[in-house]
Amino acid sequence: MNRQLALLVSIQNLELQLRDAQDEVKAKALEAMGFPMSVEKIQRDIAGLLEQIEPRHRSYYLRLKTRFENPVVPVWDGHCTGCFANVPTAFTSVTNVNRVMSCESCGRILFQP
Amino acid sequence: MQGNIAQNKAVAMDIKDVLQLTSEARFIAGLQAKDKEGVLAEMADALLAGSPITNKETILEMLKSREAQGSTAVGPGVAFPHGRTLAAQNLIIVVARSQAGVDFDSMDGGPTHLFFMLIAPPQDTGNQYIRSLAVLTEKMQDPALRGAALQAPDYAAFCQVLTEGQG
Repeated sequence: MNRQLALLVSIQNLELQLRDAQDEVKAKALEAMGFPMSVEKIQRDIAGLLEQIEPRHRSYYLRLKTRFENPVVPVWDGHCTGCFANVPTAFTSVTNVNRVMSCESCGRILFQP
Repeated sequence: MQGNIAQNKAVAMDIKDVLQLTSEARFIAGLQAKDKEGVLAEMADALLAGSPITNKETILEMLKSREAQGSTAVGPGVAFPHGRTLAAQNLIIVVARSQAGVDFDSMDGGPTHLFFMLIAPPQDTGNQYIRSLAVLTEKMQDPALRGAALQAPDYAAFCQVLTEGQG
């Protein structure tokens, strides 16, 4: 996977962690089991990864984030899982392996899970 | 009414329900890995087998970032690497054992022998992910059960050990 895309996926996975860490009930349950989560640490990690994203991808991602809770989504069965539009077969073409591609319909950044 | 029943069933999740989320193919009786990174990689391989997920790196990156929050080896000899990822469509559990034990940065500094990896989707109905984690962490507090789980000769016996006493 393209390094920039891998970073964007990692950021989005951290956003999922952050959501659990900010949910009082889930965070307390996890802490009681011995898995405390630090909101500040996750936010720092996200910021650190964002710094490694090329400016053009970063600004696009941040713009998407204002519109969608899930700006990066997997493609399942040839569909964008954000808007369920068909994704052109070119998405999986080897010539596009090193590109950051987005959904033609909703604009979300796509990746092959 | 039906909704309430479904909700109550979710609350009453037990070890049998949790074991439904794994399978023999996702049970590693004897890990080859000798270190933390190797354990995560070997378990990720088992996760990918028979799964529509093909991108191992995505899973590993997520697990490592979760471990960076604090080691998931919280029980004596037991670790629960876990987290949510965009790549998962439903909750998947991989179980692994290491007779020799692996340094997994455990709280007590001892080697880790039993591993339960939980890979959760971004959203899960009934909060299955945290409930499953709770069932497993509670179950693994019993030293006799941990010992028996480690010695069980195969997957069926392992499941039987975990479900013992469930009535």
